[in-house]
Amino acid sequence: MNDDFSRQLRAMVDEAVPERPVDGLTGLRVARRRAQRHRARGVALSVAASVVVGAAALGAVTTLEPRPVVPASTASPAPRDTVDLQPAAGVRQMPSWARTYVRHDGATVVDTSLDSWAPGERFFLALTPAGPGLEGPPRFAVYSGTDDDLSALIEADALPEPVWETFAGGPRVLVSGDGRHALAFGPRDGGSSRLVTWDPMTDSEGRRIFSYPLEAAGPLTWGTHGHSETNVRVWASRVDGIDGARAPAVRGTVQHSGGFAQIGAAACTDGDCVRVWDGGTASPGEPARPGPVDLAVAAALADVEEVTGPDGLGLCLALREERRDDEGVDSTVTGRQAQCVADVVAESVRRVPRPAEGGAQGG
Amino acid sequence: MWGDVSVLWESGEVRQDFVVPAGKEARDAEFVAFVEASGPVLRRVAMLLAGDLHRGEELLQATLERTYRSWSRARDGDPLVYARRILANLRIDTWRRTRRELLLTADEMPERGNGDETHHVALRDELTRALLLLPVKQRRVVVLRHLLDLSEAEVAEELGLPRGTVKSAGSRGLATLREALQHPAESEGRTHER
Repeated sequence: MNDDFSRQLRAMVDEAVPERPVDGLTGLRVARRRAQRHRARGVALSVAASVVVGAAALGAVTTLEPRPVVPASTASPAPRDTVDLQPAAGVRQMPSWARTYVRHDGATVVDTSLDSWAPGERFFLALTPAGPGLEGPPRFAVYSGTDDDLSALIEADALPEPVWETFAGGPRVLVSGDGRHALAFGPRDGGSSRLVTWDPMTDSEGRRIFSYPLEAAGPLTWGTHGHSETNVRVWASRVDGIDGARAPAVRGTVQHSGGFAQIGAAACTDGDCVRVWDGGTASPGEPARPGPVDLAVAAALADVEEVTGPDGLGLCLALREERRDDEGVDSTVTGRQAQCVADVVAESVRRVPRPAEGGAQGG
Repeated sequence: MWGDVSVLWESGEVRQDFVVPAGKEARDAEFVAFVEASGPVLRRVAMLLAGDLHRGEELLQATLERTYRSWSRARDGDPLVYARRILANLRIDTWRRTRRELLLTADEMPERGNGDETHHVALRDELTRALLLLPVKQRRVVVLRHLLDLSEAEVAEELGLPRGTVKSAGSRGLATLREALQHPAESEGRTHER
């Protein structure tokens, strides 16, 4: 029944978006400042309006020129040295200065410069922003093609059929048919992020690692509303297996920002975040399975009452430290921390209550 | 499914006491009291309507600004109802990232390493993704009618809609939400008609 479902929803909301104090003085300060800006804008708009009217009148008698394609990103002359574009054997990252192009419809095309496993091609991403009034989530489309394909992608009236189109809410992974190659990509919301894998990689110092810092390009438009927009940065990595082995399976990302002390994770536990593409056709993929150490950590975390509190993280770090010589454990402190953030969030998500299956629809 | 990024806020808020004065200051004092009493529920509604913390924050700030500018009218009745009506009908056409102005308080700024937010954010991500599948009108109805538990009459009045529309939009929205939450993989890639 709808009443039952409504009650379940309200319980879900109570847990997901708990009411929290809002400081009254801060609210007053913000409201007053915005009200002042509103009054000032009223004056400025009356001046701007006459300029716009003048430009429109000129436009009416001017032949329209084709809109030039202009890279939307601010090009950097050189990469920052804080992020390694080849952080592990078999891994290549899209650089921060990757070229991005704004289409006429507001979508942004990103030339990742990462080779596709289709011969002679490379991967492009197209980010379509959320619709006006948030009437549709932002979406990523993945393409594989040549320079000509890129030009067509930028200039076409409508985006062509992609290899894969998906909600732009988290990390996604495109895997080759033989499983030896993968393209991982996703949005990044400020701060620093690390890609976390289930399988070990080897860094330039020969250490066993399960994560590396992500480089990101942008900013790109994530949503537009009237004259305002919000932006996001985009990351992409090509992850290959070594010596013909399968590519390390992508587990997700963890994020941390010193300025705002953000920390968190995104993890892939079902098939909607993975697609298999053999160079011709795409099909749903399977998420990777955790290893023995991951399962042992998960079992231990299941007994922690407040798993997202200090007890959960502390227990996880202790367990992984204890087993740091095992194949499934990162040999660096930073890497183990990243694994534990992913572990704790996974256990937290597992505990999320869901509305019961079945029941009447509509009504 | 993917969880999402959590946000843990550093502590360090400085609180100030104030004395209720007269005139313009009295109005401001009333507004402060209103924000402290109604801000939490308004922010929750904003978050659910907008789809994420930052856009929700912008929506809340725009609501507070408009309520403040019309405070004499708002305080004539129930200021919460007045502000909620603004919030529910505001076109989200001016939001942007304003992290420097987040209205978070020390109560929601746990020490770094406290991961309570991770759980909330993962769940919030799932909810808001499901809500974003709904057209704006349905989303507004569902949030007010089914998540805030307002009556159909109250929702109709606040949104300026006929009661029949509230009923049908709520029912359709609820069905979409139920499907999205029970079978998240099947909603992947789905959007509503614009």
